[in-house]
Amino acid sequence: MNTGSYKSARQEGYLLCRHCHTLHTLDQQDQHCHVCETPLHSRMEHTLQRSWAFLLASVICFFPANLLPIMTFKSFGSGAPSTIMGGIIELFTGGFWGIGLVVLIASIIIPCLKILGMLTLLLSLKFHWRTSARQKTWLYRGVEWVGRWSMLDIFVIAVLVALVQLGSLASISPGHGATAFAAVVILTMLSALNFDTRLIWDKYAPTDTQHHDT
Amino acid sequence: MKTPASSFTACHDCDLLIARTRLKKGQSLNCPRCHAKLFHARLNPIERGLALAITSLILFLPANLLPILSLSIFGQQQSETILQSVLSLYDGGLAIVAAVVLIFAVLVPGLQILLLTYITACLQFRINGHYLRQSLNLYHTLHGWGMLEIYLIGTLIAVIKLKDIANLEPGLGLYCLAALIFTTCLTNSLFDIQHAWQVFGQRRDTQKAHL
Repeated sequence: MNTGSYKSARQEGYLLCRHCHTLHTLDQQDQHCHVCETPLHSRMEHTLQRSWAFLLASVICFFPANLLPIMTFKSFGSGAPSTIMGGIIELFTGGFWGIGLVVLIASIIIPCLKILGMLTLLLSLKFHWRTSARQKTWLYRGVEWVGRWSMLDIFVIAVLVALVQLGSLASISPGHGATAFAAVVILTMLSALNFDTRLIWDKYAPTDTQHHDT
Repeated sequence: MKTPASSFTACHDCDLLIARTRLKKGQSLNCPRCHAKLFHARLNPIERGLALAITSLILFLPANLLPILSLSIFGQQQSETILQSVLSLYDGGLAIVAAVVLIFAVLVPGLQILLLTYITACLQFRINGHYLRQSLNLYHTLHGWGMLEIYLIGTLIAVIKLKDIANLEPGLGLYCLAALIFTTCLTNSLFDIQHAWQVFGQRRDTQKAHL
Protein backbone atom coordinates (compact mmCIF):
# COMPACT_ATOMS: atom_id res chain seq x y z
CA MET A 1 0.00 0.00 0.00
CA ASN A 2 1.48 3.29 -1.02
CA THR A 3 0.80 5.60 1.87
CA GLY A 4 4.10 7.45 1.76
CA SER A 5 2.91 10.20 -0.57
CA TYR A 6 -0.17 10.97 1.50
CA LYS A 7 0.03 13.86 3.93
CA SER A 8 -2.35 14.23 6.81
CA ALA A 9 -3.86 17.60 7.62
CA ARG A 10 -2.05 17.62 10.94
CA GLN A 11 1.33 17.04 9.29
CA GLU A 12 0.70 20.01 7.04
CA GLY A 13 -0.41 22.20 9.91
CA TYR A 14 -4.16 22.01 9.47
CA LEU A 15 -7.01 20.83 11.62
CA LEU A 16 -10.50 19.74 10.63
CA CYS A 17 -13.52 20.67 12.72
CA ARG A 18 -15.29 17.36 13.24
CA HIS A 19 -18.68 19.01 13.55
CA CYS A 20 -19.01 21.24 10.51
CA HIS A 21 -15.96 20.00 8.54
CA THR A 22 -14.38 23.46 8.28
CA LEU A 23 -10.62 23.38 7.89
CA HIS A 24 -8.57 25.47 10.33
CA THR A 25 -4.88 25.91 10.94
CA LEU A 26 -3.30 23.79 13.64
CA ASP A 27 -2.54 26.78 15.88
CA GLN A 28 -6.28 27.08 16.50
CA GLN A 29 -6.16 23.88 18.56
CA ASP A 30 -8.35 24.19 21.70
CA GLN A 31 -9.97 27.35 20.35
CA HIS A 32 -13.52 27.39 19.08
CA CYS A 33 -14.54 26.89 15.46
CA HIS A 34 -15.74 30.17 13.96
CA VAL A 35 -18.60 28.46 12.16
CA CYS A 36 -20.12 26.01 14.64
CA GLU A 37 -18.38 27.28 17.81
CA THR A 38 -17.48 23.82 19.08
CA PRO A 39 -13.96 23.30 20.56
CA LEU A 40 -11.33 22.39 17.97
CA HIS A 41 -9.11 19.37 18.45
CA SER A 42 -6.78 17.86 15.89
CA ARG A 43 -7.65 14.46 17.41
CA MET A 44 -10.58 13.80 19.73
CA GLU A 45 -9.55 14.28 23.35
CA HIS A 46 -9.01 11.16 25.49
CA THR A 47 -10.46 9.13 22.64
CA LEU A 48 -8.79 5.84 23.56
CA GLN A 49 -9.48 6.08 27.30
CA ARG A 50 -13.16 6.84 26.68
CA SER A 51 -13.51 4.15 24.06
CA TRP A 52 -11.89 1.57 26.37
CA ALA A 53 -14.02 2.64 29.32
CA PHE A 54 -17.31 2.29 27.43
CA LEU A 55 -16.18 -1.01 25.93
CA LEU A 56 -15.22 -2.54 29.29
CA ALA A 57 -18.52 -1.36 30.80
CA SER A 58 -20.40 -3.02 27.95
CA VAL A 59 -18.49 -6.28 28.47
CA ILE A 60 -19.51 -6.23 32.14
CA CYS A 61 -23.18 -5.65 31.23
CA PHE A 62 -23.02 -8.39 28.59
CA PHE A 63 -23.22 -11.13 31.25
CA PRO A 64 -26.38 -10.03 33.09
CA ALA A 65 -27.92 -9.20 29.70
CA ASN A 66 -27.63 -12.80 28.62
CA LEU A 67 -28.13 -14.55 31.96
CA LEU A 68 -31.06 -12.62 33.44
CA PRO A 69 -34.54 -13.11 31.99
CA ILE A 70 -35.67 -10.38 29.61
CA MET A 71 -39.37 -11.17 29.97
CA THR A 72 -41.87 -13.52 31.57
CA PHE A 73 -44.83 -14.88 29.63
CA LYS A 74 -47.69 -16.03 31.84
CA SER A 75 -50.83 -17.75 30.56
CA PHE A 76 -53.52 -18.93 33.00
CA GLY A 77 -51.12 -18.37 35.87
CA SER A 78 -48.32 -20.55 34.56
CA GLY A 79 -45.22 -19.60 32.63
CA ALA A 80 -41.51 -19.21 33.06
CA PRO A 81 -39.13 -16.30 32.60
CA SER A 82 -37.12 -16.45 29.39
CA THR A 83 -33.68 -15.16 28.50
CA ILE A 84 -32.59 -13.82 25.10
CA MET A 85 -31.18 -17.21 24.09
CA GLY A 86 -34.32 -18.95 25.38
CA GLY A 87 -36.50 -16.79 23.16
CA ILE A 88 -34.39 -17.57 20.12
CA ILE A 89 -34.48 -21.33 20.80
CA GLU A 90 -38.25 -21.06 21.16
CA LEU A 91 -38.49 -19.42 17.73
CA PHE A 92 -36.30 -22.10 16.18
CA THR A 93 -38.22 -25.01 17.73
CA GLY A 94 -41.48 -23.30 16.70
CA GLY A 95 -40.27 -23.50 13.11
CA PHE A 96 -39.69 -19.77 12.59
CA TRP A 97 -36.19 -20.16 11.19
CA GLY A 98 -36.02 -16.85 9.37
CA ILE A 99 -37.16 -14.68 12.23
CA GLY A 100 -35.17 -16.77 14.73
CA LEU A 101 -32.09 -16.06 12.66
CA VAL A 102 -32.85 -12.32 12.59
CA VAL A 103 -33.16 -12.19 16.38
CA LEU A 104 -30.09 -14.39 16.81
CA ILE A 105 -28.05 -12.06 14.60
CA ALA A 106 -29.39 -8.85 16.14
CA SER A 107 -29.25 -9.91 19.79
CA ILE A 108 -26.30 -12.27 20.13
CA ILE A 109 -24.03 -12.15 17.09
CA ILE A 110 -24.00 -8.37 16.51
CA PRO A 111 -23.25 -7.42 20.15
CA CYS A 112 -20.47 -10.04 20.24
CA LEU A 113 -18.99 -8.88 16.94
CA LYS A 114 -19.24 -5.25 18.02
CA ILE A 115 -17.36 -5.90 21.24
CA LEU A 116 -14.75 -8.03 19.44
CA GLY A 117 -14.42 -5.43 16.67
CA MET A 118 -13.83 -2.54 19.05
CA LEU A 119 -11.44 -4.74 21.06
CA THR A 120 -9.46 -5.52 17.89
CA LEU A 121 -9.26 -1.83 16.96
CA LEU A 122 -8.19 -0.72 20.43
CA LEU A 123 -5.68 -3.54 20.93
CA SER A 124 -4.15 -2.99 17.49
CA LEU A 125 -3.53 0.66 18.36
CA LYS A 126 -2.27 -0.22 21.83
CA PHE A 127 0.25 -2.82 20.65
CA HIS A 128 0.98 -1.24 17.23
CA TRP A 129 -0.15 -4.30 15.28
CA ARG A 130 0.97 -4.16 11.69
CA THR A 131 -2.45 -4.57 10.13
CA SER A 132 -4.04 -2.80 7.20
CA ALA A 133 -5.34 0.63 8.15
CA ARG A 134 -7.92 0.46 5.41
CA GLN A 135 -9.30 -2.83 6.73
CA LYS A 136 -9.43 -1.40 10.23
CA THR A 137 -11.33 1.63 8.98
CA TRP A 138 -13.88 -0.64 7.30
CA LEU A 139 -14.11 -2.69 10.49
CA TYR A 140 -14.89 0.51 12.38
CA ARG A 141 -17.51 1.56 9.84
CA GLY A 142 -19.13 -1.87 10.15
CA VAL A 143 -19.23 -1.62 13.94
CA GLU A 144 -20.64 1.89 13.77
CA TRP A 145 -23.30 1.05 11.18
CA VAL A 146 -24.50 -2.16 12.72
CA GLY A 147 -24.51 -0.86 16.30
CA ARG A 148 -28.03 0.46 16.54
CA TRP A 149 -29.63 -2.71 15.16
CA SER A 150 -29.07 -4.66 18.36
CA MET A 151 -31.70 -2.40 19.90
CA LEU A 152 -34.19 -4.65 18.11
CA ASP A 153 -34.83 -6.98 21.03
CA ILE A 154 -35.61 -4.08 23.36
CA PHE A 155 -38.31 -2.87 20.98
CA VAL A 156 -39.72 -6.40 20.59
CA ILE A 157 -40.06 -6.56 24.37
CA ALA A 158 -41.65 -3.11 24.44
CA VAL A 159 -44.30 -4.14 21.89
CA LEU A 160 -44.99 -7.52 23.51
CA VAL A 161 -45.32 -6.07 27.00
CA ALA A 162 -47.79 -3.45 25.79
CA LEU A 163 -49.88 -5.85 23.72
CA VAL A 164 -50.15 -8.86 25.95
CA GLN A 165 -51.82 -7.41 29.02
CA LEU A 166 -54.93 -9.54 29.33
CA GLY A 167 -54.95 -10.16 33.06
CA SER A 168 -54.89 -13.82 34.10
CA LEU A 169 -55.55 -14.97 30.55
CA ALA A 170 -52.13 -14.05 29.24
CA SER A 171 -49.62 -11.44 30.25
CA ILE A 172 -46.01 -10.60 29.52
CA SER A 173 -43.90 -8.72 32.03
CA PRO A 174 -40.41 -7.37 31.33
CA GLY A 175 -37.32 -8.60 33.18
CA HIS A 176 -34.15 -6.89 34.31
CA GLY A 177 -32.06 -8.60 31.66
CA ALA A 178 -33.57 -6.04 29.28
CA THR A 179 -32.02 -3.16 31.24
CA ALA A 180 -28.59 -4.77 31.02
CA PHE A 181 -29.11 -5.51 27.35
CA ALA A 182 -30.06 -1.91 26.57
CA ALA A 183 -26.94 -0.85 28.47
CA VAL A 184 -24.76 -3.15 26.32
CA VAL A 185 -26.17 -1.65 23.13
CA ILE A 186 -25.80 1.97 24.24
CA LEU A 187 -22.34 1.46 25.75
CA THR A 188 -20.95 -0.22 22.62
CA MET A 189 -22.43 2.60 20.51
CA LEU A 190 -20.73 5.15 22.77
CA SER A 191 -17.46 3.21 22.60
CA ALA A 192 -17.53 3.41 18.80
CA LEU A 193 -18.62 7.05 18.85
CA ASN A 194 -15.69 8.06 21.03
CA PHE A 195 -13.13 6.29 18.87
CA ASP A 196 -11.21 8.62 16.58
CA THR A 197 -10.51 6.72 13.34
CA ARG A 198 -7.78 9.18 12.40
CA LEU A 199 -5.55 7.48 14.99
CA ILE A 200 -5.56 4.35 12.80
CA TRP A 201 -3.85 6.34 10.04
CA ASP A 202 -1.48 8.34 12.20
CA LYS A 203 1.18 5.65 12.27
CA TYR A 204 1.75 6.30 8.57
CA ALA A 205 2.59 9.88 9.38
CA PRO A 206 5.56 11.02 11.43
CA THR A 207 4.39 12.53 14.68
CA ASP A 208 6.80 15.46 14.75
CA THR A 209 3.94 17.96 14.56
CA GLN A 210 2.15 16.34 17.48
CA HIS A 211 3.45 18.87 19.98
CA HIS A 212 2.56 21.94 18.07
CA ASP A 213 2.32 24.28 21.02
CA THR A 214 4.45 27.14 19.76
CA MET B 1 2.70 32.64 4.46
CA LYS B 2 0.74 29.41 4.34
CA THR B 3 -1.88 28.53 1.76
CA PRO B 4 -5.24 29.54 3.21
CA ALA B 5 -7.21 26.72 4.77
CA SER B 6 -10.14 27.39 2.45
CA SER B 7 -8.33 25.90 -0.54
CA PHE B 8 -8.04 22.54 1.18
CA THR B 9 -10.22 20.11 2.98
CA ALA B 10 -9.40 17.06 5.08
CA CYS B 11 -10.93 13.62 5.37
CA HIS B 12 -12.89 13.31 8.61
CA ASP B 13 -12.01 9.63 8.90
CA CYS B 14 -8.27 9.53 8.12
CA ASP B 15 -7.21 13.21 8.19
CA LEU B 16 -5.83 13.13 4.64
CA LEU B 17 -5.30 16.64 3.28
CA ILE B 18 -7.12 17.07 -0.02
CA ALA B 19 -7.28 20.00 -2.42
CA ARG B 20 -10.78 21.41 -2.68
CA THR B 21 -12.50 20.86 -6.02
CA ARG B 22 -15.77 22.20 -7.33
CA LEU B 23 -18.28 19.41 -7.77
CA LYS B 24 -21.04 19.38 -10.33
CA LYS B 25 -24.55 18.58 -9.16
CA GLY B 26 -24.90 14.90 -8.41
CA GLN B 27 -21.17 14.30 -8.13
CA SER B 28 -19.57 13.07 -4.97
CA LEU B 29 -16.02 13.17 -3.66
CA ASN B 30 -14.57 10.22 -1.80
CA CYS B 31 -11.34 10.11 0.16
CA PRO B 32 -8.69 8.50 -2.06
CA ARG B 33 -7.07 6.83 0.93
CA CYS B 34 -9.88 5.48 3.14
CA HIS B 35 -12.82 5.91 0.72
CA ALA B 36 -14.94 7.90 3.16
CA LYS B 37 -17.57 10.01 1.42
CA LEU B 38 -16.45 13.60 1.86
CA PHE B 39 -18.89 15.59 -0.24
CA HIS B 40 -21.95 14.86 -2.23
CA ALA B 41 -23.28 17.72 -4.33
CA ARG B 42 -26.97 16.87 -4.03
CA LEU B 43 -29.72 18.53 -5.99
CA ASN B 44 -31.50 21.23 -3.95
CA PRO B 45 -30.80 19.56 -0.60
CA ILE B 46 -32.30 22.39 1.46
CA GLU B 47 -35.52 22.65 -0.50
CA ARG B 48 -36.00 18.90 -0.55
CA GLY B 49 -35.07 18.67 3.12
CA LEU B 50 -37.80 21.21 3.95
CA ALA B 51 -40.40 19.29 1.95
CA LEU B 52 -39.47 16.04 3.66
CA ALA B 53 -39.39 17.69 7.09
CA ILE B 54 -42.93 18.99 6.67
CA THR B 55 -44.12 15.57 5.46
CA SER B 56 -42.47 13.90 8.45
CA LEU B 57 -43.99 16.49 10.76
CA ILE B 58 -47.47 15.61 9.49
CA LEU B 59 -46.85 11.88 9.87
CA PHE B 60 -45.19 12.05 13.28
CA LEU B 61 -48.25 12.66 15.45
CA PRO B 62 -50.51 9.92 13.99
CA ALA B 63 -47.59 7.48 14.02
CA ASN B 64 -47.22 8.10 17.73
CA LEU B 65 -50.83 8.45 18.80
CA LEU B 66 -52.75 5.96 16.65
CA PRO B 67 -52.61 2.26 17.52
CA ILE B 68 -49.86 0.34 15.75
CA LEU B 69 -51.27 -3.09 16.42
CA SER B 70 -54.35 -4.44 18.08
CA LEU B 71 -54.61 -7.93 19.46
CA SER B 72 -57.71 -9.92 20.20
CA ILE B 73 -57.81 -13.17 22.11
CA PHE B 74 -60.94 -14.90 23.47
CA GLY B 75 -62.95 -11.77 22.78
CA GLN B 76 -60.61 -9.51 24.73
CA GLN B 77 -58.96 -6.65 22.90
CA GLN B 78 -55.76 -4.77 23.49
CA SER B 79 -54.18 -2.17 21.24
CA GLU B 80 -50.73 -0.68 21.35
CA THR B 81 -49.11 2.66 20.56
CA ILE B 82 -45.44 3.55 20.93
CA LEU B 83 -46.19 5.62 24.01
CA GLN B 84 -48.20 2.80 25.54
CA SER B 85 -45.29 0.41 25.13
CA VAL B 86 -43.18 2.93 27.03
CA LEU B 87 -45.77 3.09 29.82
CA SER B 88 -46.06 -0.71 30.01
CA LEU B 89 -42.32 -1.04 30.45
CA TYR B 90 -42.44 1.60 33.16
CA ASP B 91 -45.29 -0.19 34.92
CA GLY B 92 -43.37 -3.45 34.61
CA GLY B 93 -40.61 -1.94 36.74
CA LEU B 94 -38.11 -1.20 34.00
CA ALA B 95 -37.91 2.59 34.16
CA ILE B 96 -34.51 2.69 32.39
CA VAL B 97 -35.64 0.57 29.44
CA ALA B 98 -38.83 2.65 29.25
CA ALA B 99 -36.69 5.79 29.08
CA VAL B 100 -34.46 4.24 26.40
CA VAL B 101 -37.46 3.37 24.21
CA LEU B 102 -38.99 6.81 24.82
CA ILE B 103 -35.75 8.57 23.86
CA PHE B 104 -34.79 6.51 20.80
CA ALA B 105 -38.24 5.86 19.35
CA VAL B 106 -40.10 9.08 20.23
CA LEU B 107 -38.00 11.99 21.46
CA VAL B 108 -34.96 11.75 19.17
CA PRO B 109 -36.96 11.20 15.94
CA GLY B 110 -39.37 13.98 16.93
CA LEU B 111 -36.56 16.37 17.78
CA GLN B 112 -34.77 15.53 14.53
CA ILE B 113 -37.87 16.39 12.52
CA LEU B 114 -38.39 19.67 14.38
CA LEU B 115 -34.72 20.62 13.99
CA LEU B 116 -34.74 19.76 10.30
CA THR B 117 -37.85 21.86 9.74
CA TYR B 118 -36.27 24.81 11.55
CA ILE B 119 -32.88 24.48 9.82
CA THR B 120 -34.20 24.07 6.30
CA ALA B 121 -36.87 26.76 6.72
CA CYS B 122 -34.26 29.26 7.99
CA LEU B 123 -31.83 28.46 5.18
CA GLN B 124 -34.44 28.29 2.44
CA PHE B 125 -36.20 31.56 3.29
CA ARG B 126 -33.05 33.35 4.47
CA ILE B 127 -34.44 33.90 7.93
CA ASN B 128 -31.96 34.81 10.64
CA GLY B 129 -32.72 32.02 13.09
CA HIS B 130 -31.25 32.78 16.50
CA TYR B 131 -30.75 29.12 17.30
CA LEU B 132 -29.61 28.02 13.85
CA ARG B 133 -26.07 27.18 14.94
CA GLN B 134 -27.23 25.27 18.03
CA SER B 135 -29.82 23.44 15.95
CA LEU B 136 -27.24 22.37 13.38
CA ASN B 137 -24.94 21.17 16.15
CA LEU B 138 -27.72 19.22 17.85
CA TYR B 139 -28.92 17.74 14.57
CA HIS B 140 -25.38 16.57 13.87
CA THR B 141 -25.08 15.04 17.35
CA LEU B 142 -28.40 13.21 17.15
CA HIS B 143 -27.47 11.50 13.88
CA GLY B 144 -27.80 7.74 14.24
CA TRP B 145 -29.72 7.79 17.53
CA GLY B 146 -33.23 7.81 16.03
CA MET B 147 -34.38 4.21 15.79
CA LEU B 148 -37.86 4.21 14.28
CA GLU B 149 -37.04 1.64 11.61
CA ILE B 150 -35.74 -0.73 14.27
CA TYR B 151 -38.97 -0.23 16.21
CA LEU B 152 -40.93 -1.22 13.11
CA ILE B 153 -38.91 -4.42 12.61
CA GLY B 154 -39.37 -5.10 16.34
CA THR B 155 -43.13 -4.80 15.86
CA LEU B 156 -43.02 -7.28 13.00
CA ILE B 157 -41.08 -9.78 15.11
CA ALA B 158 -43.64 -9.36 17.91
CA VAL B 159 -46.39 -10.10 15.37
CA ILE B 160 -44.70 -13.33 14.35
CA LYS B 161 -44.23 -14.35 17.97
CA LEU B 162 -47.90 -13.77 18.76
CA LYS B 163 -49.67 -14.81 15.58
CA ASP B 164 -50.23 -18.39 16.77
CA ILE B 165 -51.97 -17.48 20.01
CA ALA B 166 -53.95 -14.41 19.03
CA ASN B 167 -55.55 -12.44 16.21
CA LEU B 168 -53.56 -9.37 15.28
CA GLU B 169 -54.78 -6.39 13.32
CA PRO B 170 -52.48 -3.69 11.99
CA GLY B 171 -53.61 -0.22 13.05
CA LEU B 172 -53.50 3.07 11.19
CA GLY B 173 -50.46 4.01 13.26
CA LEU B 174 -48.46 1.22 11.63
CA TYR B 175 -49.00 2.69 8.16
CA CYS B 176 -48.07 6.16 9.39
CA LEU B 177 -44.98 4.73 11.05
CA ALA B 178 -43.92 2.96 7.85
CA ALA B 179 -44.46 6.17 5.85
CA LEU B 180 -42.51 8.15 8.44
CA ILE B 181 -39.59 5.72 8.18
CA PHE B 182 -39.71 6.11 4.41
CA THR B 183 -39.47 9.91 4.62
CA THR B 184 -36.68 9.61 7.22
CA CYS B 185 -34.67 7.38 4.87
CA LEU B 186 -35.27 9.80 2.01
CA THR B 187 -34.13 12.68 4.22
CA ASN B 188 -30.90 10.85 4.99
CA SER B 189 -30.16 10.35 1.31
CA LEU B 190 -31.35 13.73 -0.02
CA PHE B 191 -30.48 16.21 2.74
CA ASP B 192 -26.89 16.91 3.68
CA ILE B 193 -25.89 18.45 7.00
CA GLN B 194 -22.45 19.37 5.61
CA HIS B 195 -24.09 21.38 2.87
CA ALA B 196 -26.26 23.12 5.47
CA TRP B 197 -23.10 24.00 7.43
CA GLN B 198 -21.52 25.45 4.28
CA VAL B 199 -24.54 27.62 3.53
CA PHE B 200 -24.64 28.69 7.17
CA GLY B 201 -20.91 29.53 7.15
CA GLN B 202 -21.16 31.53 3.92
CA ARG B 203 -24.13 33.51 5.23
CA ARG B 204 -22.25 34.24 8.43
CA ASP B 205 -19.22 35.45 6.49
CA THR B 206 -21.26 37.80 4.28
CA GLN B 207 -23.07 39.17 7.33
CA LYS B 208 -19.74 39.88 8.99
CA ALA B 209 -18.51 41.60 5.83
CA HIS B 210 -21.53 43.92 5.91
CA LEU B 211 -20.91 45.00 9.50
